Amino acid sequence: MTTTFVTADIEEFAAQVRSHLADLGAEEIEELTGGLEADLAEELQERPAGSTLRDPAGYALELRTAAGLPLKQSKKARPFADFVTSLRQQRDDMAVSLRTNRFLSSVMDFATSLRPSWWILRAWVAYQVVVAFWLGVGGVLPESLGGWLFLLTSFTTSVQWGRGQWLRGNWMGGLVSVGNVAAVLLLVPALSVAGTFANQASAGDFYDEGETAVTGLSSGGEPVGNVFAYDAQGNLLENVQLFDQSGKPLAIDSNSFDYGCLDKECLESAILVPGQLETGATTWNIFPLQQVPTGDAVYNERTDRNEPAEGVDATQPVVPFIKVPAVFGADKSELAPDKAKAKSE
Amino acid sequence: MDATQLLKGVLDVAVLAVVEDEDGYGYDVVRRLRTGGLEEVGDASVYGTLRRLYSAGALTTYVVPSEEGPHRKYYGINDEGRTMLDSQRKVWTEFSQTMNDLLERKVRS
Repeated sequence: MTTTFVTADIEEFAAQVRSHLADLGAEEIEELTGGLEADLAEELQERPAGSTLRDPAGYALELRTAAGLPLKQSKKARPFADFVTSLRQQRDDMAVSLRTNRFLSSVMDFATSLRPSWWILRAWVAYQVVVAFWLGVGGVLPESLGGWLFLLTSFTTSVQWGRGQWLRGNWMGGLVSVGNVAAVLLLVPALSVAGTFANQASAGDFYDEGETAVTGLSSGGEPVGNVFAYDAQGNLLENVQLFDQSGKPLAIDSNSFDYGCLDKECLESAILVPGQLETGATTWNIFPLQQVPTGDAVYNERTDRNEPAEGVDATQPVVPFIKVPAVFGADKSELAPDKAKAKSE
Repeated sequence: MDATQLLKGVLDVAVLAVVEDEDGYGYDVVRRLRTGGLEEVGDASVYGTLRRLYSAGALTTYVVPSEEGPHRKYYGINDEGRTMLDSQRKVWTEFSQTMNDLLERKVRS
């Protein structure tokens, strides 16, 4: 019987071989070692007299490699390394699969030529993560020397890593792989944050989250509350209608700025009142806008704004200048009498 | 380059080819492979490959009693094994031809 040749040594050897393959699935182990004892007995019988069994670890390794199975992992838990290896394996498998298609292969060649661009982009994403997400400042590009130094360092490091330089050990390669995944995931948020900072910069420092941008007349980023026009002789004009180059009324943003002052120190406030056309329509592009004291205003639910109470007449606002210098070359003979009826205080 | 490394990927087809000629038991297949030129092939690799190919359904097996030692487990190729062998033979032929062309071109240039 075959079993009579399977000695205790052989059984012990086979058991150790199986223990060295324990990281594989039960089915794989059975495939590799099913009938191993009998085979070992046969092998010993065939080999020169006095031959002994080799080390079980080496035997197991040979079985494993001949079957094209991965080498046994270290007993030490390496979840990060395993994860990275898994990512790389999937990437390689996908690349091999795509290369079988001529069109996709061309696309891959094209994408490969774009790798340097990706190195730059991921460095910029890293910069955004640090300055915008972490430090809470930012913009598309740095505005300080320190910011530029950090960004340039990030660029240089990213490009060197892309070229396979400055990588010490597999763990750094793994770190770069994980960083690439993170950069892809953070690309859209980084673009969004950088765009937000850029918009804030263009809208001025007064801009706060929750406020709407100025939609009416503005000066230096701040809303304009009233406009005072003077003629060639420097006299204040009344009821001036302003339009832009396309005929659109140049009006104040009455939704966010519809108040004025009754005195220069603005101790008493007033509400601005829109002008009225002969058609009966009211409009916010007739300047200077007149006003009524806040105390003489009532809230109108229909228009959702404060309006002059019935019987209260609007008055001219406090003017910044009663008169300004005449325009050079203006005809002095046409010097008009002072039309300014505005109060000087 | 170590021939042992190259052998890993083609041991299946080598074993199938040997068994196609004539049924053989484990150590017999080892000997025939070595005689055929694969002198560095390991015992464990061949025995393991035979067991895998049998599990995969590419080989049949039967036991022949021996008076001197343990019974010998003989392996023979079946239809599935022949199909596998034909397919792998074709792949190998194309691959080796490509490699030969590539290497010869390198030598000439």
